[in-house]
Amino acid sequence: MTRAHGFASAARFRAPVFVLLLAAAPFFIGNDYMLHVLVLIALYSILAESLNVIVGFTGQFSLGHAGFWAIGAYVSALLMIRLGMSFWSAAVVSMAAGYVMGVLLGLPAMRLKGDYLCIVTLGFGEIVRIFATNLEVTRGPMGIPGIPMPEIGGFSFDSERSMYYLCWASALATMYVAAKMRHSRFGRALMSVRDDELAAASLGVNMTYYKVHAFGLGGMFAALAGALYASWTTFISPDVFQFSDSANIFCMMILGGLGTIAGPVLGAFLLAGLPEVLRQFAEFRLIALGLLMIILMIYRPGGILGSYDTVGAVKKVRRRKIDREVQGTNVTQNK
Amino acid sequence: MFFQQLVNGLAVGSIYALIAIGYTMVYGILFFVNFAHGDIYMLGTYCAFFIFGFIGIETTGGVISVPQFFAALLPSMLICGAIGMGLEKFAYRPIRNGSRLSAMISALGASLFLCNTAMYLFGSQTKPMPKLFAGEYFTIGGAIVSYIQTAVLIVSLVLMAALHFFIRHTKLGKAIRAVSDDQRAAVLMGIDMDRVISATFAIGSALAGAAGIMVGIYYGAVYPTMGAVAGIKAFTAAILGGIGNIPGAMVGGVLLGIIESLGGAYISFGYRDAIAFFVLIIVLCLMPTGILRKGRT
Repeated sequence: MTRAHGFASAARFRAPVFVLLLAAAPFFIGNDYMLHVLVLIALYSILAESLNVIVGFTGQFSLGHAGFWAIGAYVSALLMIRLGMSFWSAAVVSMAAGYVMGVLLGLPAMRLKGDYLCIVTLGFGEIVRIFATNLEVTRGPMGIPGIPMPEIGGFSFDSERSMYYLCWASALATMYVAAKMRHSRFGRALMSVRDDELAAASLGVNMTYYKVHAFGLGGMFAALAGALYASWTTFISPDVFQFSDSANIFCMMILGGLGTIAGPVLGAFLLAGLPEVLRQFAEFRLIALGLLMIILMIYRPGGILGSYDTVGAVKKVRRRKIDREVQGTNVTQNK
Repeated sequence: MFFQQLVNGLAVGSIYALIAIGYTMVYGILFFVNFAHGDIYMLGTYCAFFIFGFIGIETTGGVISVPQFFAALLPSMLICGAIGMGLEKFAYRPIRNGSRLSAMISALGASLFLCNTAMYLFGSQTKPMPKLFAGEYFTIGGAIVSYIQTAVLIVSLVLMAALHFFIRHTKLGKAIRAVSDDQRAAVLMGIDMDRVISATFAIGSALAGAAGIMVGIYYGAVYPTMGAVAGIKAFTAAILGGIGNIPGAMVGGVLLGIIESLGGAYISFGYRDAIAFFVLIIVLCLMPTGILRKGRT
């Protein structure tokens, strides 16, 4: 508990510095390319942070996060183009769509665990992509061009710098919500589900409610990232939202530190930022990234910012499971 | 039409089954999903590609004979087995006692590493593979069965039978079964874990390599990212059959292949893959541990 306090007070000093640095960055960065990379990092931060609610807080595996991202992007793009809605209302509707899809995906999570949940979520991501490729309204593999930029009172977010502020504001808002949630009754309930389902259930934590809502919230913020992405690039196609992106987002969250607030953002800087910065070593950067991931897992399995608590908890649960199996209690890997 | 799709599904499904066995064997012992498995399958195809080049076969439009096929199959399986063992030693052994999440990330990292190394060394463009039997076929009950489909089916069946014999009737196979049943007891009985795990990776990777060659010849193409989709499909097959269970992986693979072919033919070709995933989700919700659960081998 003292450790949690220590972290919180350290964060109290760190967070404003981070926000100030971000606010000042565009004044020191001359070229649009670097700003472009930073916007990308902001979007991946939202994605990794929202996945963290599902995996880091609630302990439910999910490998289909790109599916929510795609839903957000497509819903918002289609609403703006077909119905002429403004970005803001389209983004809100797409977040609602992300939430509903999350809740629907959360339903199988009541029955499934671990790798089985992994494959169902993976299947979800693929299904979304296949529908986007085959539906007429999404124009299939051709994608949707000409997605409008956000506008407010005559001001259009058409420059890289304005999108930078909008995307980072959204990323910081996501981080803030995640941080607040972590220390709320709701967040503690999520973490109790992660640490020991049996104990949590017997203390009266409603499993179904919390699991389903964790997926819903995760899906909602990922959809926000999708809406921002669609308006930022003005073009989306099914190729953007591959399984490799889901895996990439997953890695950001783990590398940075599972269950922490700053971790997923750090992971986004590493996995979305480094490959862009190292473009001159184009051929080697992804090879090096793969190696880096393996080496990090060997020397820092909890992620760069991860406390060993989370890892310890996973280990403990696993050991207990093995013990139960040894004792002949009928506890299978997935029930 | 129905019978034709059944034949196509069987051929593709038996390849899924070969790859799925690697996932399931590793899972049965280490409880994690080896995401780099699909990339080992891809390396298997490249091995064959270079062996064909080495023995002087035109890869574009060339035709190979059956002995040439086996001349490529066996060394490729050996090389893939060795790569699998190396992968385990380098990327997975150091974190064997860590959490399953770190193993998963390490596996994703290994997959990224292998795929991009292949892209760097061999180029990212698709390369043609030679044909086996130059498209000859025969018909049974109105369905066209090509020789290559028959060959794929026979080779897969022989490999699976060999694996079954190995697991059931050899000492090392018995050790693998013991470790997957109860790790602690197996170690207490003096079984060398490192050796068992190495063997598991070697066998699984060799089978993936064999699958890679057959797919390469079946579709006539090889490219560095071919492991991703096949890997997802095979993983799905392994889960469908009940992960950790070797006969389950075989059944799951064949079933997935058939579901895909039939769904593609009768419902919609574009949604073929989506149908496979829908079926999987429904099966899992009704039978959360797959069709054949672990322990009922």
